[in-house]
Amino acid sequence: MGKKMSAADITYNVLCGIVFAVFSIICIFPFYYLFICTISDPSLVEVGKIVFLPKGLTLKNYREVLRLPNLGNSALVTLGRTVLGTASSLFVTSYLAYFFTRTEMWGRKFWYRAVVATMYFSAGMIPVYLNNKMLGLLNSFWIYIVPGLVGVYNMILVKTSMESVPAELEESAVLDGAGYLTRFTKIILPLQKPILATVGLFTAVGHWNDFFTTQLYITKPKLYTLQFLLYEFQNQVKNAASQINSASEAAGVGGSNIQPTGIRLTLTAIVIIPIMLVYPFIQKYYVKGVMIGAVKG
Amino acid sequence: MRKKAVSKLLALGLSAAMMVSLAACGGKNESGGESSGSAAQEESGQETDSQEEAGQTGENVQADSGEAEIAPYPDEQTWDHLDRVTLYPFDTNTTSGLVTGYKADVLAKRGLEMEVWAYSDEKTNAILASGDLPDIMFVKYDNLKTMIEGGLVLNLEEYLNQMPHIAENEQIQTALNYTRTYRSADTGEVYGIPIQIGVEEEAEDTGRNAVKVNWKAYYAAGCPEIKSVDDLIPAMKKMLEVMPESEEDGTKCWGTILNAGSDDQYWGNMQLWYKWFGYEPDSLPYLVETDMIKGEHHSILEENRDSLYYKGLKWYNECLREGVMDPDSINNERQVQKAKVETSLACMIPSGTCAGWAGYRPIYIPGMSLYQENWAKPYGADTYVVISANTENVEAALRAVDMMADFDAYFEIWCGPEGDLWEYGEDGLVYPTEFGIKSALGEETTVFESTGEERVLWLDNFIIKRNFTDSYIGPDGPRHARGLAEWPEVKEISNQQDEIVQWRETFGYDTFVEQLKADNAYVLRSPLDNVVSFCPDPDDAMKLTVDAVKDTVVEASWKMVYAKNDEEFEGLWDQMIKDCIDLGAEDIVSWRLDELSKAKETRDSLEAE
Repeated sequence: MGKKMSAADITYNVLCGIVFAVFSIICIFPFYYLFICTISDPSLVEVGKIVFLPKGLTLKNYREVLRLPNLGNSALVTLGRTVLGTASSLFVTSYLAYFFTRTEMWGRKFWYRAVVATMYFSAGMIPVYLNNKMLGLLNSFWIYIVPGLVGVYNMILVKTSMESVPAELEESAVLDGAGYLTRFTKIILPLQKPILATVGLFTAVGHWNDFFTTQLYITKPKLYTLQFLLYEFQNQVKNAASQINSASEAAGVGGSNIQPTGIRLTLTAIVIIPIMLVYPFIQKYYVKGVMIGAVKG
Repeated sequence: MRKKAVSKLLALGLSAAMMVSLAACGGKNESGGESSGSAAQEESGQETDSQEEAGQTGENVQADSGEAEIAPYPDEQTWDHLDRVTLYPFDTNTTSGLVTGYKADVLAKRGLEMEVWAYSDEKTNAILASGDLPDIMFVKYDNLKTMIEGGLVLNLEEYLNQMPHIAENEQIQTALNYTRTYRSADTGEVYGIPIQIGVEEEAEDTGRNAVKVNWKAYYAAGCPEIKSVDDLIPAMKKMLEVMPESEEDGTKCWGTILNAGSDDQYWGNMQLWYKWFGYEPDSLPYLVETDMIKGEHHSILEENRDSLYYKGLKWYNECLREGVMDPDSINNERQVQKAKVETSLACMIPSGTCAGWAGYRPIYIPGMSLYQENWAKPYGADTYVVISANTENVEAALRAVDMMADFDAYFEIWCGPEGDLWEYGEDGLVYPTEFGIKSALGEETTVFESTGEERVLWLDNFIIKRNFTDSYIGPDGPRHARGLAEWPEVKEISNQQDEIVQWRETFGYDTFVEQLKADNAYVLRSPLDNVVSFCPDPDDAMKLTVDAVKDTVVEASWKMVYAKNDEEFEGLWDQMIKDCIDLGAEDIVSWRLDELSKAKETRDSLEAE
């Protein structure tokens, strides 16, 4: 039989429910608002007449965006860099973190500090551009992979997690003759799933959202990422709408009905949907992973 | 102990390496002259050699063809292959990638195919620093100066005759004379060709330089008489009585609507207020007003309550207190204001930054003089088309630059291929097709039937800026190049629209300019035309003060618009003036007035030549 709740308990539960419901709505409403704006009449969105319910239901924003040339190719490029970039970054970052947990590593403290120092100091955009140019990465798919192989912050998280692994586990492998790579791949790495999921999520989101790399280093459309394509489209729509509306004056007619705000929101929706679909599957690792990485021992 | 010594040695070694690399950067900068970054200097050494080679090649070509001989028009020649050129555009309007579709045909006619790089400010900095220039790019003068000094751009002096549209155009030649003297990094030669060269032509109305009214509401309200700016608010009230909500989408109507998204250089909502009175706001960041009609500059600090700025704020405040201004104006982004004014037609008298076009008609307020909105400049805008000194195919790059001075190419890009929006008649003249007329009137989309492509903005900043093409001639002469909306056949139909007929019947004139001329209120050429083009930008230190003054003025202006009574308004105005003076605005004003005076003398001396 269940415990009978007192009036105070019920009141407390109701109040909690109301408060959390309000907070939940506050968190969820922006996504809901985003979605209803993308399926509402663009001109109503522009003047702020869409509040709680969609009006003038239409899919023309999605049709406009999905009609973009080169959309399929750029989606493939984005997917490729996200998968390959995340996998390679995870492996390289975690292997580097493993090195720094080895006390026998020569100059360990010095190299660790040198690597961490790069978090605080940067040469700036131009030297980085010149460095990448010197490495032959301009207009190459590898610009999306190579510069991002090591994330120092991620490396620190993984290293902290690895240090919590008992040394005895590795010692027995050493006695059996296992080398560093074997111990790393067969003993250490499997125990780092939570932190790797966390770091992997950070990295994957970073790859998915990045358009700056394309903007700076790529001039060939076949290497455009989805984000960059959509960013360029949004700028063109914004500029075209202002120009076309002005040029329509002499003919006494209205201008383009593809309004920039609607496009902006549609682009946002298209870009965040994949991340929102992936996130629930790794959420269980996320909090645990962050805490493991943050707390030593 | 030993470990500590090793650590110290390593740290010393690292420090020494950093110092050496710093010294190396500084050394290269000193030897290479002014430049931005050591790598640019490394590149510039190479570029200078390439440039000299290119120059020698150019001289050889020149010697072969004869110095005075101008090359034939590229679009009149036959090309057996296409040369690819890369272009870094002026802004994001030009779609990146290899140009395809009908625009590719326009280029192919000139023996070209074009690959456009995607534009961004960051990329501009990166490619300028690295020297990885495309064949052709648009640069502002500050960057051009650095590029000339770094040897990154081709000296076009020897190649001008290979660009026939440039060599034969007197307006461009005049602009190039100015470029040689003032925009050549003291070399006296042409490295970049300015864009937007032209002389403003008279139009049927003054563009944004007039008070406009929501015509449907104004007409329905009985065309209330407007004898002065003071009559605008009562007129708005009458208009709002007959149209409280927009007929387009039910948006609540307001007498006027402002926006808070245009305040990057000055309080943007002064823009149209100034233009209504024949002023230009281009010196407002320096608290200077420019009366284009009388040809005078005034300091806002000195004029104080006699300034147009004060009167504008007072008017906006009155609009709000009378209940005719959108109270949400301070929260409006520019796009929101635009949507309310232009899409919803929910504004009675557009002000701020949004002039209102379709659905709005200009009205003349007696006693006020207006002038033609000026986009073309005799010496061009301060942005230049340059060719990289490392270009592999100089001739192709020259043809591409020449195309930007060919208004036939502009026509072909804007009006599309023959047979879609226009066609040749039996008499060999150019006529609009039925589809073209309907497209211009908005009854059809501007999708070219033959190719399925949409007409979008593309490479809008040509070297030459004017309205008419050269070779595409209609019955009334050269056709308007930027689309069919101004073609007589389209105008004949659009002029029969109700609001235009009603406007004519109400005011008794065919066009707004005709009405202005009847009252001697129209000015095509201002005594201050193009003076601002010769003004320098402030230095970095002064820029900080200008930005601080701008922030003060913008914040105070918004507060004055929303002031609840006259006392509050006057207090805010006095405080704003005091704050500006405390920030050092008087020095800014004095500097700007001085520069404007010098700029006027420079312009006058150029015109005298």
